[in-house]
Amino acid sequence: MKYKDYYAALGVPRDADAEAIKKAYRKLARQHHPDVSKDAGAEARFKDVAEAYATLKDPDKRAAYDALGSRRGGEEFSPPPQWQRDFGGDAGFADLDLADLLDALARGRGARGRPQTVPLRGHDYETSVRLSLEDAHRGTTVNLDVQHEDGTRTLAVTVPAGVTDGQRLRLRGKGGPGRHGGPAGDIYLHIQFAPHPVFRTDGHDLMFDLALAPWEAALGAEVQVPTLDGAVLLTVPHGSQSGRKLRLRGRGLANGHGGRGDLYAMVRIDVPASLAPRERELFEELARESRFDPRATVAKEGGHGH
Amino acid sequence: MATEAPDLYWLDPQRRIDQAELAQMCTLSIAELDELVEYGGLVPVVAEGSAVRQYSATCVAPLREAVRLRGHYDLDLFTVSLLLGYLQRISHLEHQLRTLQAHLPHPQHLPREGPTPWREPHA
Repeated sequence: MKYKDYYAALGVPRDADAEAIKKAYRKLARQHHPDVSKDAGAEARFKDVAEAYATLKDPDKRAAYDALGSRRGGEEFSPPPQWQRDFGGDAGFADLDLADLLDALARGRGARGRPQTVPLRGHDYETSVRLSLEDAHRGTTVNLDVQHEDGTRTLAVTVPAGVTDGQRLRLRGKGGPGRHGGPAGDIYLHIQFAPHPVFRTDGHDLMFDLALAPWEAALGAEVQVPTLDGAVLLTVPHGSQSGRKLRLRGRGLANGHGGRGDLYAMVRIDVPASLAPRERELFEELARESRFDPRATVAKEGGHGH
Repeated sequence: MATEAPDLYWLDPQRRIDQAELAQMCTLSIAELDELVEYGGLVPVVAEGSAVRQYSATCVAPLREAVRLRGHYDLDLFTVSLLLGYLQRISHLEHQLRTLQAHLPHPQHLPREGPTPWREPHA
């Protein structure tokens, strides 16, 4: 087993009091926390200081650690024979590192007042998967690489149709294996949808922008629109304003209960970026003939204010 | 939601979790859960006729995150309850933001023609 110099990891002397150890830890934790630091070695450094603090903040663990004496970090050593008995006789230290061993010793003594083998629950894992809308709609299987002590294993997880963006899933007992009769950990899976070139989602509903020419919006039209099942014809009512939502019932995502959400076409009126001479003539004629004033309401409201 | 694997659970608002299971999922004791309830960071689901407290499964992710940070920064339980409140609020606001973004028309990026605005240097 390799010795780890926990005092050096926290940058405190061996006789530092609990308050000094806590202060040193919090400063280093804030500096190297993976949520904060983007340095390449930050996560490993954070784990080192967290492991050191987990031992030194606990009087029993610290006393056991101090009993090992002062050594060089990384030096090979054999734990005292008493630890072997305390930890559980034949269980051995082969699959443990120093932190696990100190943890197990402390738990064994604290929990039952006398040393014995301590069941340890396996590690939980948190991960996220990105699904395409099509996979979310139809259901899919995702392969998760799970780290175990005996290497990486691939776990196939069936994600049923009906999943929504941001949902969380718990896979009980699929995490790290327990030790000494302890239960296995869990996997927590965060479902995220990959951006889709056309559709946006709100729960099981889908939205997309429907670009219309001014005359289509004014006169009404039949336009071809995309859905997850292929293109369909949508009747655009005359006088459709920009921002209007046209609903296609039951064309959204499967909800997992035999139904589906809705699909909303959100009207956006586009104008030609450049006009052919004849188009310009027609627009100019419309401008002369039309009595429509899109700013009439705004002008009235503005007048009230003055 | 029906699934093929019996050990697969969606952590959705409809699902309720007993306090013992929540404690195990979040590596807390039941006494610590009760303390978080006392501080107002955690709110149990009102379940008539149930002897044990139950919680919505939506609290699992923020509670696990708060417990993770508790370990990382050696926080006391009162700080965890404050943290939990803020994490739940952030989660709620993120959900609202995603919903609003879905309903907003996305700007179309077209090559612009015609005169350039005065802010841009002329070619």
